[in-house]
Amino acid sequence: MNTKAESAVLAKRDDRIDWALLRDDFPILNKQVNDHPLVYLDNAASSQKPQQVIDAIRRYYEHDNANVHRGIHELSNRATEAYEAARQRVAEFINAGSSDEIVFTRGTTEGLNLVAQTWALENLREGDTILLTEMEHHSNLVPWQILARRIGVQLDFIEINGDDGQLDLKWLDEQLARARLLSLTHISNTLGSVNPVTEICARARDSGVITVVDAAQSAGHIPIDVSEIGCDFLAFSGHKICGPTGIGVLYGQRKLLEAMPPYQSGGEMITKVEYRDSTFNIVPHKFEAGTPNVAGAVGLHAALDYLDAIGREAIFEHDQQLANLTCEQLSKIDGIRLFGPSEGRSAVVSFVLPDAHALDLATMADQKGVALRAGHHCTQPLLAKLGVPATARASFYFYNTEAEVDRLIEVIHQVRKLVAS
Amino acid sequence: MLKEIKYHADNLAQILEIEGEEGQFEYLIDYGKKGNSFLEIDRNENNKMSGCLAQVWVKSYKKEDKNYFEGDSDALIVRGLVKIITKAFSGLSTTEIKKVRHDIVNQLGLGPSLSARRQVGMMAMIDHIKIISKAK
Repeated sequence: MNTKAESAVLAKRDDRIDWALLRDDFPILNKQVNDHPLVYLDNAASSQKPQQVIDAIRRYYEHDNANVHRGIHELSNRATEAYEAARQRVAEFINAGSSDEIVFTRGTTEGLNLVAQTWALENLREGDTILLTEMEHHSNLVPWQILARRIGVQLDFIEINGDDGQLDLKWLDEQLARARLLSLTHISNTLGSVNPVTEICARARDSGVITVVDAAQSAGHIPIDVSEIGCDFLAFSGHKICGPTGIGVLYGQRKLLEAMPPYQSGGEMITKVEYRDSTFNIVPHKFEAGTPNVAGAVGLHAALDYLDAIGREAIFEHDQQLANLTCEQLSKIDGIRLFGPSEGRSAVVSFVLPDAHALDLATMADQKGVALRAGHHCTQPLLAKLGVPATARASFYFYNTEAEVDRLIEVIHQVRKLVAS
Repeated sequence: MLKEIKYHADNLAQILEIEGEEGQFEYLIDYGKKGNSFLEIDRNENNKMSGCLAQVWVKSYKKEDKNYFEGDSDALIVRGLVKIITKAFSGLSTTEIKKVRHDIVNQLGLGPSLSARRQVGMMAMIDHIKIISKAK
């Protein structure tokens, strides 16, 4: 087994990547599930982890583990260095101006909640409008609904144009003129649409609207440059991009973070505490109360190294090839309903078969070793709008292969036969 | 054990041994398809169970102090399970329903894949049946 991100580099020959070689880095991908080789197509929910990430976490616990920031002993120094190095690595990964703009969270959901409960709660008033899109994951909808209940802000939505899943930006400037904050997903976890966030954020900026980008589905799949996107906040999770669970990132523009009140409170986020009052730490520590997930940050660091050794442009190209191949094969089924754009789709393919319910398909596919997702994918309002109670979803990552797409299609046909018999 | 549950548990156990879980899927799909008398009009919000991955509808009526249930789902495997449960509880009094523990579904002998995914849903279905028959 190679160490660090070496194997990702070794898999590159003359700028061509041997994707099959990368699979060797993922111990779980060689496992059998229900007596069949695992075909893992649930990457939009969570990705698998390469040995390099697993080793980094193990190394941290074996050699460097201690609490961060406060200690004066060697291990604490090492843990602090590792934690802050991870923050610096994240800043590079998304081209943030400084590591001070990187807040570690538990994941995308916590990042979005943090913005809702700090910036938005502090700055929005009754009657103000928050602009969202109709394709948001519940994690980018419910926090704003809770805020609406609490302080009486209004929610408005950028519509989608049906099954194609593209945002209808016809009224965007009018909607922005009424809004104070815009929060939208970069890539839809249900439709696979890639939203033009750079254009949308530029138009929002012209209207003086604060922008939040949910990058849960995009961060490890396409290059992310927050300076180019021009967003005020951007959130993503570690576990969807080869990192461990329980670690995520909220990027925020420094001037906004500095003006925001703390999110949670306790140790780490303070400079001085008296019985009746406290002063708060500088950013980003002001938003990281309690002992942070140091091992998670270390694992995330390793994951980012791994991804960048491959290259995110190449990953996205590979994602798209597999998604397009899947759509091409699925579209041969009479009566199938495919969701998402026909061109420029990301790694997500959602569909409804004419004869087999998504849940039946996913249950029986699992029996054949194929991991799919069925249901509303935490986008209940979107599915209600599309008029379907559930879809089946295959979502890919760079370690998936064309042979796995073939296996998926084979299994779909087997299930359809079984259901029809 | 309820007679209906025992009948299917015996069949499912035999199938699991000979054909594996795929055989159980087929059995449940076939059972769900057989004599599906649930009317389209009854697939309404009033009869709908919330929180299920598939849509599940259960309706009930009372005759001479006994409760009767019918159920349906848009997913075939779930429909088979719904029909087993609704039939098993039909003809019982409210007091009898009260006495049945919802973990009776463990006795159905479903394979590991089905039991991991559907057990919680089936227990919720039994709780739902208890609520609509006022046994809870």
